[in-house]
Amino acid sequence: MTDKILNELTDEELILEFQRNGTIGAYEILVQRYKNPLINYVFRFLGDYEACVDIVQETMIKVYRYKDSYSSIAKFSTWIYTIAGNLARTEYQRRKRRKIFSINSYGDEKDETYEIPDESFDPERITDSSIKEKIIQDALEKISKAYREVVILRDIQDLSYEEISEITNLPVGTVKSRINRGRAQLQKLLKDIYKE
Amino acid sequence: MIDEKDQEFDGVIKILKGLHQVKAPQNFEADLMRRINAGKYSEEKSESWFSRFFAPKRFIPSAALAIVAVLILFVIKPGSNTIENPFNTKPRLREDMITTTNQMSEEKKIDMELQKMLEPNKDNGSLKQKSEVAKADAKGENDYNIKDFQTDKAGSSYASENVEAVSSPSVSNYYVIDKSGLNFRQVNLTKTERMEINRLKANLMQFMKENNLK
Repeated sequence: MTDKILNELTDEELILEFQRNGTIGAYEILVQRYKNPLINYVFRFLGDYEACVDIVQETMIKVYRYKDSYSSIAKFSTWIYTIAGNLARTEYQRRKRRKIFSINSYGDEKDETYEIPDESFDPERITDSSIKEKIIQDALEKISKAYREVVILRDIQDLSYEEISEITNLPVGTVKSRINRGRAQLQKLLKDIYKE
Repeated sequence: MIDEKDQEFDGVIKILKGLHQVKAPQNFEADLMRRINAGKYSEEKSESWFSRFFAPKRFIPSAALAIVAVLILFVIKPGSNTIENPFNTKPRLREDMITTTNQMSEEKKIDMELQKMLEPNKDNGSLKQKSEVAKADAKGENDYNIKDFQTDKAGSSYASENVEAVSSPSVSNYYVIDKSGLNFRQVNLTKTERMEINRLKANLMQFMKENNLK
């Protein structure tokens, strides 16, 4: 199959192609489609860019290695988000145990590969937006892990309640209540930004 | 469809949605493919147990262990005479026991001679003489034996028990055993202890006198 045809396929069709024929092109397209959403999700959850890149790469390796364990009953997006979420949670627990949890890593290190989008030439505006982002990221990291995960999936990743329910393996009602509790906590933490 | 709760947290939702999208680094795919190729994540071929066993990482240590075991087997022979097996050794000869048993046979001989002498046909004078001689001989030998025990096996309870068990019946027939011949524990009393014992003795005697006790 040519790349043009592969690009037109859905995620589920691509993974089936990779499963059945071992087409690396299909796998590469899946990586291309999901690398940024997953990086965004894991980064918002952990707050560490290098760690989040590692986790997403690990997720992609797992998809490559255990491609046969994917069943076409589930959506590919929920499957890959579940893998990434599990790895991110494990990393979070490991960091918590070792107490090397770094919430300020992005922007401080010299080797930082994180790129601030260059949307404006006004340096004050850039500084202002990056400070706000940092405050929001800090607030996200302050709320409970269970709430944070579902809030990110819902309000940042724009996933449906059903998809979140599948990813987190929780009932839809629990997902909704956790999202609202998380939002309430964030509202308290971000009240200064509201005033602005 | 927007929930009522969504409207309640509209501000938070807007802030979160306004966050910029974090993107993967440019070399993400290249790094990923390098990791995949380095790890060889293709399906692993199952090896047979034979090839697993003879793999150098397993075969070398197991072969070394086997060689060491064989060497130990040859160096330390299980049937070697240098190691004394207590179950295979003969019991040691107890010379004192032999002496005692010989003594017993001597005593039996004396008994038989005495019985012959006590027969009615024979005269009483010769009987007395012979019995005295026999007693004297027996006493002398017995004394020798007891002393021998005391010097050789004074500390051994087994030896002293044997002496009593073997020789005492015959000794009790003919000889009077005094205190020095026995293996008593000799207690050396101090002066004050002796005085105390004497005082107790005097008290006891007085008590017996007063109550007309023998």
